[in-house]
Amino acid sequence: MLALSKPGYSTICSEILTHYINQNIFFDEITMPSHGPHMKSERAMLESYKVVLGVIGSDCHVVGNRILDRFLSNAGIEVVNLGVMVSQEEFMLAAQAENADAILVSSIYGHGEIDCQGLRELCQENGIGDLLLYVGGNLVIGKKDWKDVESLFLEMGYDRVFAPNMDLANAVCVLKDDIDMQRISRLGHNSTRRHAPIAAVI
Amino acid sequence: MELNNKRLDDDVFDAERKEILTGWHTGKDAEFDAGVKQQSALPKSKQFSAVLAKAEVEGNTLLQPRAGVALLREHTALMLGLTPHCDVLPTTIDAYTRLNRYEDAQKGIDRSRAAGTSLLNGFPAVNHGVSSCAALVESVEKPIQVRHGTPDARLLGEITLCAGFSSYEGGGISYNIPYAKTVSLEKSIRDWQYCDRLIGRYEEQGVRINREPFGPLTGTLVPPFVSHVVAIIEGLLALEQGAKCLTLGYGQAGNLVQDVAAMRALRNLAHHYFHKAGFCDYALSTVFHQWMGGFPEDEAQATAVICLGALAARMAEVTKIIVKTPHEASGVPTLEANIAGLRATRQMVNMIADQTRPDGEDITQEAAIIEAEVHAVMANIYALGNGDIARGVVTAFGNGQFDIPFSPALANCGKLTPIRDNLGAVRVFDFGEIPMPTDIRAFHHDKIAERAKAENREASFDMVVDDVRAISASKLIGRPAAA
Ligand code: B12
Repeated sequence: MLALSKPGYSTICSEILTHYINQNIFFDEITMPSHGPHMKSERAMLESYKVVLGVIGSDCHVVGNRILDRFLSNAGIEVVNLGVMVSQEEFMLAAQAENADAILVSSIYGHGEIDCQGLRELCQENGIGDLLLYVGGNLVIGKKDWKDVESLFLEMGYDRVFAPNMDLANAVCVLKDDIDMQRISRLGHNSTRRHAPIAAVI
Repeated sequence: MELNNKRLDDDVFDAERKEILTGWHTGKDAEFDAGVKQQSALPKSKQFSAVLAKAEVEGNTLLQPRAGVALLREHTALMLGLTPHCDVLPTTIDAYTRLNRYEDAQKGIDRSRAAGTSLLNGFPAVNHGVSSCAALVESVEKPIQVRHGTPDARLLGEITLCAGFSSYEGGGISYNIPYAKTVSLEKSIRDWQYCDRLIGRYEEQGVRINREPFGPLTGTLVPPFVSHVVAIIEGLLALEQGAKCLTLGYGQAGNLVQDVAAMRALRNLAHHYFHKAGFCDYALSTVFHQWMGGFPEDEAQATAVICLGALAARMAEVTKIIVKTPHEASGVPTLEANIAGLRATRQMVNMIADQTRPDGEDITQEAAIIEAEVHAVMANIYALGNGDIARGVVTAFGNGQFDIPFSPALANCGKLTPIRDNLGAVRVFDFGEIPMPTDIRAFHHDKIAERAKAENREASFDMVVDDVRAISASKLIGRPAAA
């Protein structure tokens, strides 16, 4: 059970977490292809990975969320799974409280265009502006040209956008690489950029 | 207030009704007398209950798509486009309305208008209100049903029934456990007693509204006995409130024998429990949902999944089929994709219709197992509630003695774990806390062991993941790559 230390972070959230962890959906070891080609600093290599996972908005689709959770966990990534129907605020608070490396947002039910807009800005306003933001699922209403969907969500400030039929093993590699690269780029700056607000928006 | 399976008192209902109608500004237009007038004026061809009754007598299989978009004009055009290809119409409600988030639905309407395309995954009927919904009913020539996923569907019911929709899908369990996260079962069951009572009141005025509990639940490897128990309990709860026209449903599991057996067992079981509770005066029909789990992205492959569902449904002699589309894996379908699904289904149903009804030993045996499983669970639920199924089912969910796989709801335990056997039938790997006789447990265990042996691996949660992803990866059973 992961403790959410942030004061004010509602108890309902930890109840939900306990519930999801207690759900008997254990998926066995899934073997991962060997890690990507990047050179990593020792620091990056030594660090663990931690992500916040959840399904945004009023979306109830939980099957993909359970599969992602097991897949990421089996790949050695610590997952703070908020489950379904997660608000932008809850994602942001959990990422702050958990000092996560990334937020992985799912949107399956089609309201992604409405629900996902603004998460980047919310993170910026709260001092975690350069956190990695991933999004995936059936992101818009209807069967649309993937290039258009991808650019729509890139413009919203997501770092990577995934279609429902993406290769999970590949997504995990890309995620670890992105986290490593971000750590390396932070090294030279000798600062904890992500904990200082980029811009104070009132 | 303590929940029980008793008809709601008139004064309780009336007081509650006043409050419900203030939930959104359109509620004030939902006048019961106007609703009765509107419903009574519908020709038989636009009454859901009449069209179902005719299909039952004639042995026809009705086809129904799912469809809903944000704006009235576009939604009406969609309904008119679907009409020639189906027998009964849907109106699928958007997900904000399902959670009573009418302000978000309004934003969705406004943004859809600005974008020139629907940004909502359904039709926000509450926001559109009684007169717009009535205009929709008047523009179409077939019966039209509200299809949704709303734990608290009281206001939606008031508005749409007043406007002339003649069938209402859902139930206090089937529209909570698959669709909600934090709603308590006591509340959703109680709120659905209101909806059922509303339908009972229409019935008392001579207006027969069809009630359809949502059969497929989470759509993901749901064993037949699990969804049958929910269908029967929601049927009993609806009958108690005075509804009389019931359509019980089931989502295709994928193994033909199991699917045909499940539909036969469902009818027998429903009559058994309804009679046992003292109900004789009701109309029963059935609905079969084509595969409700993950679809293949490729449209030709998706069409094959649709056809397998059509085949099973017609062989099982169901009253109605809920039809999927070749766009299923990608997104809300276009009118054209929806028509393609309906045409493929129609062709299949036509070709099977004249053939003899399959009646092998395997189907009989499978049906007997499903019936035994349902009896075991129902007996326990009655016992837990001291004879009251509403109380019994709440207790059973609470302690895991009833359980639905792959549910997002905190009200559900989530220990029951399904897995396919070597022929693709859905079996139970772990019953969790569900009380099941040892012979039935042994049957499931042996069937799963047979598969494990064939695949040369232990039965494990690995298999469950493989099964969840199998159909979208072009197979029924999630076999390991090497096997
Ligand atoms: C099962 C199902 C349901 C079940 C869900 C049960 C549950 N609680 O989970 C039920 C029947 C309840 C249901 C309800 C609804 N559903 Co539904 N459902 C499906 C279905 C058939 C399968 C979904 C599934 O479980 N897939 C299996 C999992 C493993 O895959 P996945 O969810 O895609 O997740 C994977 C990937 O997307 C990816 N991924 C997801 N997020 C992320 C994030 C990152 C960062 C990465 C890397 C990857 C990634 O990894 C996941 C694991 O492999 C799909 C259609 C399909 N795919 O075939 C429709 C579908 C998702 N549903 C849809 C809709 C609209 C609804 C409803 C709103 C009803 C409606 N209007 O039709 C309601 C939801 C109400 C609500 N409040 O949310 C639409 C969405 C439309 C769109 N986007 O345009 C779909 C696509 C069907 C369709 N074509 O219309 N549904």
